Amino acid sequence: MSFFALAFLIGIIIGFTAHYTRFCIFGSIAEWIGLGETRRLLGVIAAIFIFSFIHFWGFQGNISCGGVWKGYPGLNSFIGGFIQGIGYVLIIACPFTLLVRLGEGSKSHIFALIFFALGISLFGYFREPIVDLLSPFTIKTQTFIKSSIWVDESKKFKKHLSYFNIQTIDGGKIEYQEGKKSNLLIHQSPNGNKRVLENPILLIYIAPPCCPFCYPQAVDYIKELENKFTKQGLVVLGIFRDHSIDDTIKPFIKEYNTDWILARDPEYKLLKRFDITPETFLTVMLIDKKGDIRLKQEGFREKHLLKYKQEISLIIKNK
Amino acid sequence: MKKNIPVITGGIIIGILNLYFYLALSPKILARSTAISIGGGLATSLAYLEDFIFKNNNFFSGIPPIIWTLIPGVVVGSFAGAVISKQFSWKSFLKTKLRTAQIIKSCIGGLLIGFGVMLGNGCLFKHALSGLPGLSLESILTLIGIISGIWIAMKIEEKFEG
Repeated sequence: MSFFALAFLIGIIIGFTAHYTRFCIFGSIAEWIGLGETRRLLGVIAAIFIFSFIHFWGFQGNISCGGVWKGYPGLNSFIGGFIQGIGYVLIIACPFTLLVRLGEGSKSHIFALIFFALGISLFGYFREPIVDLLSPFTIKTQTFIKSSIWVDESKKFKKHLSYFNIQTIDGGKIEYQEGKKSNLLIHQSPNGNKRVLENPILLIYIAPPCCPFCYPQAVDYIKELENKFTKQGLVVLGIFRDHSIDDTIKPFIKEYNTDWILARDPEYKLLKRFDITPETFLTVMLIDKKGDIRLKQEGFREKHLLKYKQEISLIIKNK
Repeated sequence: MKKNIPVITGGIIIGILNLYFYLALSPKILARSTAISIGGGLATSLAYLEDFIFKNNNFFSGIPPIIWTLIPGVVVGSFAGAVISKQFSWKSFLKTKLRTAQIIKSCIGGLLIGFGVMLGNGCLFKHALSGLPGLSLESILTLIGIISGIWIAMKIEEKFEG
C-alpha cells in the first residue's frame, strides 16, 4: 500500500473515531472553561500522554519544516493562538472538528472552510510586514532564517570555488574544475557520455531538509531565471540531502517538471563546504564564471528573484 | 452501532495513530518525522487555490504533502460514521436552513482561524497533541494564546447572549 494511501486510511480512522467518541480538543477546553466539566478532557489527556512516548525516540521540536516561524516561539505564537481561539468559539470548532463536522454534513462549516481559505490567503498577502513587525519579539535560534540577500564575509566560508564533484541521482557525476583559461562544469551521465560547459554561471538550489514540495514559488522563480538566462550560460544544479530518490526526488521532478541536474548529498560532504547544516533551510546560491560565490541566502522570495536577475545580468556583462 | 464509546478510547486511538505517523510513516516520505497537523495541512492544501483567489500571493506553511491525503480521510471517516450511525441524510442536509447570524459567525470565525493558524504555525491539534507532549515552547505559547482567546470569546458571547 502506498504511504499516501496509508495516510488517507489513518485520516479515515481518525474521522470515524472522532465521530463515535465525540473526541474534540476545542470542545473539551470549552466545556472545562464554561462548565468546569473535565470528562471530555480525559480523551485529550490520553492522546497527549501517548504521544509523550516519543521522548523514548527523540522529539525534533520543530514539527513543521521551514517557514519564518520554524522553531521561533514568540509573540507570533501567542497572537496566532489568541486569534484562533476567538475563531474557534465563533464556529464552535477547531480545524480538526471543522473537518469532522463537514463530514457529518454541517452546512455552516462549509462557510467556515471557505473563509478559512480566505484567512490563510489574507495572511499570505500581509506576510512580509507581519514578519518584520513581529520578528523582534521572536526567540531566534541558530537556524534563524535570513530574509535578505547576503554574501557571507566570514573567513570560514569559501567564497571562491575551485573544485567539487558530486554524484547525480541517476548515478552520473558532476565535476567543477578551475582551469587556467576557463572553468569547466563536466556532467558525466551513467553511460559515460560527457557534456562539458565552459565558464558556466551556476545556480545551486539546495532543497529544504524536510519538505521539498512545500516551496513551489521558490522553484518557479528558479525556473524563471533558467528560462531567461540558460542561453547565456546559466546552469541549475539541485542538491538534495538525505531525501529518498523514489519517494521524494522523483515525485519532485514530476511535480515541478524540472530538467535541472539533480544530485544528492546525504552526508553533507559538499554541502558542508557551503556552510549548509542539517538545520539550514532551503538555500540558493549563485556562482559566477570565475567560481566566486556572488549570492547566497536561505529562502527564495520575489525580492531575491529581482536581485538574482540583476546579478546574473552583471555576470553576463563580465562585471 | 451505538454511540457509547468513551472519549478516552478516542484519545488513545488518536494518540497511537499520531505516534505511528510521526515515527513510522512520515520519515518514509520526508526523511524526517512530522506529527499530524490539521490546520496547517489544510492551509497548505487550500493554498493551491490561492491563484484563483489572490494572484501572486505566496506563503509557505511548510506542511508536507503526506498530510494532504490524511485531511480528506478525516472528512470521509466522519461522513462514514455519520451515515452508519444514521445521523446524516441528504434529505435533512438539504432541508437545513441557516440563520444569517450563524453564517456571519462562521465566516468571521473561519477567517480568524485561517489567519491565526498561519501566524501561530499550526492549529490546536498539532500544538496540543504533538507540540505539548514534545515540550515545544512554541506550542506552549500558542496554547496559552488559544486558551486565552477561547476564554475571552466565551465571556463576550455570554455577555451578549445574556
